[in-house]
Amino acid sequence: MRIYETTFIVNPQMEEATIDRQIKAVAETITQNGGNILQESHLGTRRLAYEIKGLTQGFYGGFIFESANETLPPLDLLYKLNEAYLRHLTVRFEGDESSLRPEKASETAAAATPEPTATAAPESTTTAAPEPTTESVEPKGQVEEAAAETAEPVPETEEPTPEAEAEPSPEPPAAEAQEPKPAESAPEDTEEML
Amino acid sequence: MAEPRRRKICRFCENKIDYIHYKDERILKRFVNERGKIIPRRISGNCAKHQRKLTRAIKRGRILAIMAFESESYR
Repeated sequence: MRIYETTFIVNPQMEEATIDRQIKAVAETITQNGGNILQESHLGTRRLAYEIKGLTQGFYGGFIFESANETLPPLDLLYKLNEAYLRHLTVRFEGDESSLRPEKASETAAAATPEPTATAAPESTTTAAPEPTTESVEPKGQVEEAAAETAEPVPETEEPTPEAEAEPSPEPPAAEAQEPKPAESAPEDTEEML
Repeated sequence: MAEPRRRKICRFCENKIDYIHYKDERILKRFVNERGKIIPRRISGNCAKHQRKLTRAIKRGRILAIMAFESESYR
């Protein structure tokens, strides 16, 4: 079993229902041939770098899935026989596999469950993934403020009430030191690159 | 040369980016000239490992019409 990544371009001028059908057709081909979809990676409609069949825009759909290599020929056949797919590419997934692991574990844990839930599981995890980052941004500011507030009173009230204020103050700075650094450094790096 | 040339640093090593995805147009675009040609390592300063990965990503991007094969004026 290997992790593959497939991307395809569908004509965006078709009705949304037909586009959805093309996406589902790919998903079904993967699952029916022993594949296990780990993540949906649709980019949506975007501009094409060059015209394909007179079109300047295309709907980009994509899946990251785990399967044996027997899944790939039927998938390739689907792309080739159906003219709705303008372009397609299926390659081995070379990205960070650990980002897919938690989803994989949850799916293997619920291995006996039917396919619809397996496809629904990545959606819930992907929608859940952005939320912690937005949530973690807010507590950070609060923690920093709280730490700044506690840091100032501590020297003043050291002698009268040492134990009462000493206990809560070490916890927020420790959490502050661990959490923000990896979270903030990653986006900064990518922004510098771009 | 009068003064020694400053050694270029691989931007991917610098930013610890190990995997270059073919859908990342914003990154790929920086390593392509106006005609859509891949900028050589000697100019971009990439290390061999990342230039290899970048080249593969750009070529895959071209298949999927994310990058242009050639263009007179690429954006």
